[in-house]
Amino acid sequence: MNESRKTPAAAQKSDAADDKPLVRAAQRGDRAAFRALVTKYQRRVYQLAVSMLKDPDEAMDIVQETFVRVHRYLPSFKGDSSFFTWTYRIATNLCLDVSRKKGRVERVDIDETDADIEAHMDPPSAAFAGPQRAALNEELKEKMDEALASLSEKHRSVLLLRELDGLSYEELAKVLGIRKGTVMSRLFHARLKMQRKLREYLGEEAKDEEPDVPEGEEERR
Amino acid sequence: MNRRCEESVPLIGPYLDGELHEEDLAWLEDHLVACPACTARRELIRAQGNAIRERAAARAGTADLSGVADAVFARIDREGSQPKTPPLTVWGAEMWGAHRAALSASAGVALAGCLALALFLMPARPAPVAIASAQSLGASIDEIDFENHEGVVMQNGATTTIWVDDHAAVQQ
Repeated sequence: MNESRKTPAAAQKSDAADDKPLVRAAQRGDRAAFRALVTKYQRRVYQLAVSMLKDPDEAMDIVQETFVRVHRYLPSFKGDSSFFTWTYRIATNLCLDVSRKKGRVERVDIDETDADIEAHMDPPSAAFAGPQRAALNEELKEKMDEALASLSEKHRSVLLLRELDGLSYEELAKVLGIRKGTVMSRLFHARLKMQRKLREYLGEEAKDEEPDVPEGEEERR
Repeated sequence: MNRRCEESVPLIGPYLDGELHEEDLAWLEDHLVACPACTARRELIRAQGNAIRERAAARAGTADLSGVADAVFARIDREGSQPKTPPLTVWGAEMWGAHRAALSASAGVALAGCLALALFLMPARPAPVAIASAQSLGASIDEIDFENHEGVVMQNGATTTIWVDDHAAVQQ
């Protein structure tokens, strides 16, 4: 069976529908069906884990542990969310556990107060929309790991879940166990911080002030 | 940054994520057409997303995952598939980590309760072990009623020790 690669949101819906017969069969003890689910999603889970943990060996352990737990709790899976969202939730929690045990989790983001959110989302150089964009994108890619590593765990996880697999805000809320408004807020701040870091790397200076969007401002829209 | 830009900035991410409500969508698209700065912001967010995906795909793309399913089944067969209660040490450590303040406060309250209960239930006779010990050494023991208190006077040679129990006073 082919592995699933990066999946646009529209394709995810068909994935979820395709998964139902496999999930039902796996729940009845069909090992071939469960194997098909593992094969289908293992690389996406690995991609998330290696992006969050930056360690290929740990990421491989997370993939195994995720599917062992998926199998263990599969009888209780009722299909309220998609199988993949459910699997992702398990994987994300395992990644966060590993980070926590290693002391990687920043419990408090000391740099995310309103007062500090300033001048970091002013217009980036016009090159981002101009002919130099491709070159800058290459440069961005090289600095991406460093910028991601500078984020707190909660910001990194929401950003990776969104960008890697295009989970909707509703799905992100389910995976992370937070409200949809909190998803929006965290994504905003995560992107803001990424931009700040990337702009530092690119040597750009802030030019004007950022609007106040305090973290925790939820459900406005 | 003008007011329209200030209002646009928080919408750009949801716009790219396809999560913007229709009324905001039309408004933002009008603004983006007219505002190079917000267009650049949008492009930076988009570039970030692309870069994250490409980095992750490059990192994960070379990993050999061909043995994952077999390894998972091997563990399932070895460990069984029933949910297991996590070891008590793990449970305790997680509980302590998550509820450190509440557990500390509860332990304090429980300790205070135990002390209060011990005082309440303590027998009226003071220091029975010490008295028995003194008796065995030949000291004379007299129980005394100090009106509001009960007590014991222990005479051991030239040494006089008075034990006073305020249990009775507390009860009055």
